Amino acid sequence: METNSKDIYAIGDCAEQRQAIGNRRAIEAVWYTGRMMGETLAQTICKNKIEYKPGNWFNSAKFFDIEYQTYGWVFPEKNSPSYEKHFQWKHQDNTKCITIAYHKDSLLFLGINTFGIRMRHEVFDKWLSEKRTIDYVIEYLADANFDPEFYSLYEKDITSKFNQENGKSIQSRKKSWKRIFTKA
Amino acid sequence: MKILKHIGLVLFLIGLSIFTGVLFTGSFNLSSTELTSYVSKKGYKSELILNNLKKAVVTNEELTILEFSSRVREAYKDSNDHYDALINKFNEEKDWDKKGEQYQYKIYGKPHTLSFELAKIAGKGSARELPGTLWLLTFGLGILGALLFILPNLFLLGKAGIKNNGIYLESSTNRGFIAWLVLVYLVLFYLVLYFMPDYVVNWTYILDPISKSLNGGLASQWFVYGFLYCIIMLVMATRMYIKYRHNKYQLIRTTSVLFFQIVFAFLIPEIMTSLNMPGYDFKNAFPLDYDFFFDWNLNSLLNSGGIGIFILVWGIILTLIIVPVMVYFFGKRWYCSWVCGCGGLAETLGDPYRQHSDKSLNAWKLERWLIHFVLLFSLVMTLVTLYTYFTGTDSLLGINSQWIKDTYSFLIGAWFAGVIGTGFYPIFGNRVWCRFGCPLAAYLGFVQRFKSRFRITTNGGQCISCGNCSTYCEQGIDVRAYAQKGENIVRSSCVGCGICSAVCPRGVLKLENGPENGRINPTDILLGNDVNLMELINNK
Repeated sequence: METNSKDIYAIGDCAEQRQAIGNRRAIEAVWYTGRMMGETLAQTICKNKIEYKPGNWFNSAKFFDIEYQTYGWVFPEKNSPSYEKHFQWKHQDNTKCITIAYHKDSLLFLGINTFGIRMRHEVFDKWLSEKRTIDYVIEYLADANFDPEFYSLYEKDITSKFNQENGKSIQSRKKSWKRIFTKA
Repeated sequence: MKILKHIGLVLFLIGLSIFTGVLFTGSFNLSSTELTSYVSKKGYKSELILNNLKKAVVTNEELTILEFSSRVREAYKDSNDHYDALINKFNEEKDWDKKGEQYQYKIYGKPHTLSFELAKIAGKGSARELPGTLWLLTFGLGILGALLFILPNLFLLGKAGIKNNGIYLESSTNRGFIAWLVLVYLVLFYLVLYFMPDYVVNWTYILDPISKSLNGGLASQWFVYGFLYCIIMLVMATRMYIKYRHNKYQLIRTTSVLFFQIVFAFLIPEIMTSLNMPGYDFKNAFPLDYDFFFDWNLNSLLNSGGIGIFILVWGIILTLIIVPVMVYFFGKRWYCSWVCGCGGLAETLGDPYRQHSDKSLNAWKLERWLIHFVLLFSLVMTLVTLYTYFTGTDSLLGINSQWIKDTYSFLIGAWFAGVIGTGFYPIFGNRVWCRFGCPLAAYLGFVQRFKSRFRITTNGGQCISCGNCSTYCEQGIDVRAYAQKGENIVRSSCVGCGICSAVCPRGVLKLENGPENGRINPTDILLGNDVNLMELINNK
């Protein structure tokens, strides 16, 4: 991206932005932003100047044998904003766990951490952009599952725990290709 | 645990050595009465053959199988040469009647096959006399040793999960000395099995009791192959079960290929044979089953009453309807990595070698030329065969039916599918035949590429380009090239083994059957980068 010197460009974690974007940091030391900045820079150099606009936050990792994915923002309880509330579900075998962050008043879905369960990027990106509520996310969670075929599904467990904790009666919906393919 | 593994390896190698060594044991000769009854049973008209064979193998000498084989082949050759000389002579004299007479005296058949039949009667020695003991010393020790080598992995590999640590540091799995040794052994095994069955007659003795109890007859070299195939798949499947015990897709898939190999490819044909039916593998679809439309098979089916007609109709429906319809719904994986015997061996015995498939563009080009050429070859061969079958001529457009059948069986059936297809596992990866040669895979590939609900979905922008998926793709697909661009993988060669998805550390790949619409996704910009697409396109 353009720097304050002419014809000098910077991408990746050597590029410090004057103003951070959203909850992102001014220096984005995350693998995919380097790629996105590269895509943006390529357009700029090819005389098609576009804005660097990383979309909804996401990331992933693998800790020993447990995969981790995150979509949107889930802050640790210690420094989370006062409006952020968490719903957590953990499987008894200790290899699967999800944490959903939401706004305590509006129930707006803020983000999800998932361990041991793969989730569909497209679906969460859409839900974040559409500003869905946590109730909606819980109800349609099956659409977001990305585990290989034949894997056990836990949407029902998750829904019943959520209902129990919040005194609700949400019914988990079956996966729908139609919804998955509907663009935001 | 490690000691157990080493003991297992030693036991396995002892079993393998005895298995190999037993071929060179025993002695072969025939009594005069045995030979006379064999020759009269075969109904040979040649006046020379009985005497030739008598001189060759009715002896008190204890011939080894190599000596025996060469003497028998010489005896047949001598007889045939004699009549060929007569044919030439009468040909020059233009004595057509006498020339025509000579043909009945000629004996057809491959020399080593003729020798195999005689050796099967002539053998003496431990393999024939103590098959049970030798079974334990060969198959028994091999199985025990292999299991002792494999089972400790349950603890040694640590917690369930992908553990490919160090495979490039091992000679056996990184094209080292051991891998080349395995290649040489496998290639020799196939050469002897396909072209010199008489040399492995001692193996057939070891399995005679099992063969008798299954189909009532003595074991042929094909019975040995089928039995060995099932045993190897069973043992190596336990390895799969341990290695992928966290992955339900792999567990179910492994069980499926095992089931179809043992029940459909092995047991059902054996039992059918015992009931005097033509032995048929109900899952083996033409054109992989390339001799389905050969005249001898058609005749055998048509002469077998109701079951024969059923098999004939089933075989045609399988290829024309069941196979493509299933590929439409599930992709070609339902066949190639869930049902097929070749795939079954590749997915069990071949799993340690999957990283050796060539991912280069040249390999892909070669793959497309070769596999489609083999498909064309098999179709032309079948057309010629069927044309000559129904018209009674022996060639079509100058292509001789017998010649093209023999050429295909030799080049594709034996060399490509067997010697190269399996023999080259340790160096070129476990799907050499499936990727470069299988005509059925080529046919399924067309359906999968152009009319199917199957795809491997790439999960948005999550790919970190680590390359595990490409490394472990046995079909040599550069999976990463698609995943890092956010593109779904829709490739005709993908057999849907699911390993790319299993080894992915970031949960990027998922094998799915879904709507055709959206199967091939546009990827101008990767998900996550919120570029205004309309602006981008307008500015281009």
